[in-house]
Amino acid sequence: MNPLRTRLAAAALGAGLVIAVPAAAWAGPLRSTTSTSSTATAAPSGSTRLTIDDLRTKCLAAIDVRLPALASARSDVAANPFLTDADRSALTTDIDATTTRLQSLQGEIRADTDLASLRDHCRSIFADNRVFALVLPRTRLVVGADTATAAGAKLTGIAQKLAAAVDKARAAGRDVTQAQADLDAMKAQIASGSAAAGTVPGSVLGLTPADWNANHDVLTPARQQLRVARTDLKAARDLAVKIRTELRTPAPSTSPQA
Amino acid sequence: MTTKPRRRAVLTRRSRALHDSLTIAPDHQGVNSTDTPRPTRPARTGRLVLATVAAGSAAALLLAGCGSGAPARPAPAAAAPAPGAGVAADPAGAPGPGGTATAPSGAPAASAGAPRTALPAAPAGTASADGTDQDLAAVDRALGDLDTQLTDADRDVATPEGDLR
Repeated sequence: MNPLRTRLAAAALGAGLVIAVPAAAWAGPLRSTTSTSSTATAAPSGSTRLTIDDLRTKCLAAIDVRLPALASARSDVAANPFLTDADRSALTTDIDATTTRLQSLQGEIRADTDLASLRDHCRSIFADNRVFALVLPRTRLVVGADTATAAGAKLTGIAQKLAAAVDKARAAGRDVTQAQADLDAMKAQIASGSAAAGTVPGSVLGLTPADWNANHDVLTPARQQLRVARTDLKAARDLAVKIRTELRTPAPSTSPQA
Repeated sequence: MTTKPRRRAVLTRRSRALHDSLTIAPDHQGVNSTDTPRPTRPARTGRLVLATVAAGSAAALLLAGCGSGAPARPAPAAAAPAPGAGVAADPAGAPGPGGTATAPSGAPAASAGAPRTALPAAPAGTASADGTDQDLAAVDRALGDLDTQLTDADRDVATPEGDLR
């Protein structure tokens, strides 16, 4: 074989490896990396055992993703300064119950030896818990609603201070027409925002996974209400800043002309 | 007759120049044009090994690029602010006056995440609402948290539950 043929053969071999190795890896069967079912007593056929292992691995992975998310949400609920005691208790109970169900399913799935039972348990991870679709967003919506309520209470206190300042400026002979109008608008925004936020916990805390299974939009009204609350409270906040600016601006001098 | 030896000398000088280039110096007499194997070049087997190693490296890179088919779904953090969320435009942690942003104070900001107006200092001799600076900073923090919760809830709802079929 002359040198040119040798080079061509080497190049062909290299190109073949580049194409063939990833293709083989891609086309290869998906094998379970866990050995939890290798001691299954039912001793099913090889192809069936692979299917069970595949499904078991996927289901356990689904649980493994949900449990840390629930733990994180529980920590946030415990540490949140705005949550009311009642809402904190309700959310914690919901998260704990979901966690317990998933942990129970984890053990059952590991012990499953027949495909039908395994499928039922896997289906339960989703249909009977709805961690990402219901439990976690509901937690955030309730936390957000209580946070908005707390912001509304703080804005109410600010409005009272601003009202006193407006009265003081009026008594000093200043024209406070615009500041008074802004203050009235601010109070209206606070009332509207607080009312919108106040409806959220009651509308979502009673929802169950079955409710979500029947209607995937069960959380949509609560999300919209919370957006309304956010918009109104931000408007109230900006009005507070505007009133302060108006009150701090020196009154124009009204000295009589000679 | 006297011109013959002189002409011969001139011819000799000219012909020497013509023949000099054809003369092989003693130093170069060992050089020939026969092909000899180059010692620094790898042998055929070595070239095959090198090609195989290169191809294997390329295959490993491609395999690494393929990765696993089904990446694990990231667990959403309950209170971690998402990048680009409203919190970014709302420095909720900024305390005190002047710490919060830039929108004109004339109109209420109706849009979520709208920049906030800076809190002006009270000039001497003007009416003011004392003690509102810290309250407004607390409101900013709460509204920032509200933005975060709404963003996270939207993200959760938008994420498929992932039921296995």
